[in-house]
Amino acid sequence: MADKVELTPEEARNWRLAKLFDLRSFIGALFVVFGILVTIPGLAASKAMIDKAAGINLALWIGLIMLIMGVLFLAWVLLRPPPPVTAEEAEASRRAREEFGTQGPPGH
Amino acid sequence: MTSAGTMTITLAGTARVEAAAGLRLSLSGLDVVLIVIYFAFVLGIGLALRRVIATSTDFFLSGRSLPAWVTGIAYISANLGAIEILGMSASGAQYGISIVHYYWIGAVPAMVFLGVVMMPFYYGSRVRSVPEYLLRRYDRKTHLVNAIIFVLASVLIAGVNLYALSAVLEALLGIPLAVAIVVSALFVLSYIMLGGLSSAIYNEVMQFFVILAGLIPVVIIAMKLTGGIGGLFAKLSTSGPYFTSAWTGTGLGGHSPIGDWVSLVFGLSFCLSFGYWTTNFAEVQRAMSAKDDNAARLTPIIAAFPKALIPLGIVIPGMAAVLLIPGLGEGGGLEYNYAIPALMNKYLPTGVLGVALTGLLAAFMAGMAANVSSFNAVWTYDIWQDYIRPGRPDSYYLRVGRVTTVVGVFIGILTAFIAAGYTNIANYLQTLFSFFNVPIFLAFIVGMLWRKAGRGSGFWGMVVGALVAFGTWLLYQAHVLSFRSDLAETQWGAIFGFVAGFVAMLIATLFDKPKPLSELNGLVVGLQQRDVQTAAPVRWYRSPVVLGFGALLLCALLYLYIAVV
Repeated sequence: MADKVELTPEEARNWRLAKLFDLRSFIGALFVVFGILVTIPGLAASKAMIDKAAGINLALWIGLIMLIMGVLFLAWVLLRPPPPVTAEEAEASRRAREEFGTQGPPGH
Repeated sequence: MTSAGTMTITLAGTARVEAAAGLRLSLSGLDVVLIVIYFAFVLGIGLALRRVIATSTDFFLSGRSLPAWVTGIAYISANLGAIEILGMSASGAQYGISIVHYYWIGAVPAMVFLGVVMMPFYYGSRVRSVPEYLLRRYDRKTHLVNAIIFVLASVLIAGVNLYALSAVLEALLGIPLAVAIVVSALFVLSYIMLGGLSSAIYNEVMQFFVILAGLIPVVIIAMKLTGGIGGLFAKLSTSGPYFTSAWTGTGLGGHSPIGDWVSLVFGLSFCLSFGYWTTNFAEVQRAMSAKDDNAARLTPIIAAFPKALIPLGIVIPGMAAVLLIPGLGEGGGLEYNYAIPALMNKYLPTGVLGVALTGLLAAFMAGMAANVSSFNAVWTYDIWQDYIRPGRPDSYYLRVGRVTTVVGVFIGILTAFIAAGYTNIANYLQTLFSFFNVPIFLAFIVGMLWRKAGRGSGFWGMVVGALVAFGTWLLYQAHVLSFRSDLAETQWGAIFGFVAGFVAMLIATLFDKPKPLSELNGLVVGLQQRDVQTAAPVRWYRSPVVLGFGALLLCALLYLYIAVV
């Protein structure tokens, strides 16, 4: 597992991107964006908006909750970053690439 | 797409999703922006994952690399589609609190059973699909029957999900049905083509959090306006004796339309829900993509906790809608299926409404994507590789998987147009499930727990079980047999099918030599194979048994709560 993996620059770039796009970063980024976009109208909520939601400033509350959730997910990625590429992973993808020739899988 | 959801739509009577006159959402620019951002993320995930799809295992099983929290949420999300959200809230509005049986005895026990008892056989034997297990445990004809039934059912159900999604788009946003069908199908197609199962799973997990962000505000408002669950029940007490009490009228001579306790426990819970949750590959595929044996076992158990709480976000708002949306379910008023979208439209402020609608749309697409991603795995591995073109290199099957995705989505589009012609999608789906799901579960459970079950017995159990369930349904339709409701018929039909199929398996075993033990390694009780590193004891909070018990306890407490509130 801890073997040092030799990667070509292109492979290294692909893996770095793949690992960076960890599911947690997607969820974190999405909720930060959603949180900000929903909180802003909540801060400037009109009486009509609050009355519609049975007297609760829902946009503010839900916006802030989403924002906090997004930040927590991003913090989780930073505190527990995805593990580095293992030798098996690199080997499997290299084998597959050789099978497909230099072009990579169809669609690449 | 769920056994539970489909039956309840039947229970809810005419499940015509198309008629939603009067409910056109009033979206602001911000709401539309939120929807667009979400779908940009979905495509972005597909593009990012495309770089790491190198083998067919990556494409079909996410390379078996995902942690339990991801597969667990995907497991629940794959089920949280259009039919579940609209159908179960509709049933809540029409039939009241007894619908919680579909969750607390009709889902959670099955999920715990899958994690604690069955998963080691699936994961440890390294099969790549549910039908492949049957191939190794029984014989080729058992396998082929199961694979073909699954492939047919999943494209049909993908089509029905697609139709439901498009009907909602038409009703809420005014997009023409045909355009909505084609656009949503192409969208699902593009992200599965790019990222395979990982793409589907990642989206299911994101969707889960977004749908929560959409449902929670609805629950908050419904509770505030009706005075909490206690206040809601008190206000609804005029709606009849079964509406606010889960168990009233479920005695053998009772009249609660939900069924009696025998058919609830044995039919709904043991036969139907065990059949759906433990052998439906669209669900089990999520657990098979987990990174190790323990993560695979934890997948359905982690999913059981949200499943136990989901009725609070779906059934309770459905019931509250009876009070809050005047005319709901009455002639000329809004259909029960639109209880939740109507609440969202009436109460959610701009921005929050956009998030909620995004959650609904994402859930509908995820439901379809789950069917498509399991369809292409079974087609490629269990039909193409085993019977049509065996022995090709892995890259060949990866390519077949991608082509199959395209073909599957196009069949789904055709099915969606066919479903649009039916007035009752429910019957169509429910018929499929009640006939095939239960006998397939029978073949699994007997095969896993009884080593001596013969090679051909799985086939006979499935065929006889399906025929008996089908026969029960025919006799009910012809008024020869009578049950207290359509729902009770489904439950009893499942019980009859299970028992008849079991007898058929016993008889078939008499005429058939059992498989030698050497061929049953990893497949039957006592011969499980476990990963070495995960056979080590785990801490309590990672123990499937402890967490599974916790999920059951949670259901018991929830039953107690709704009884005393």
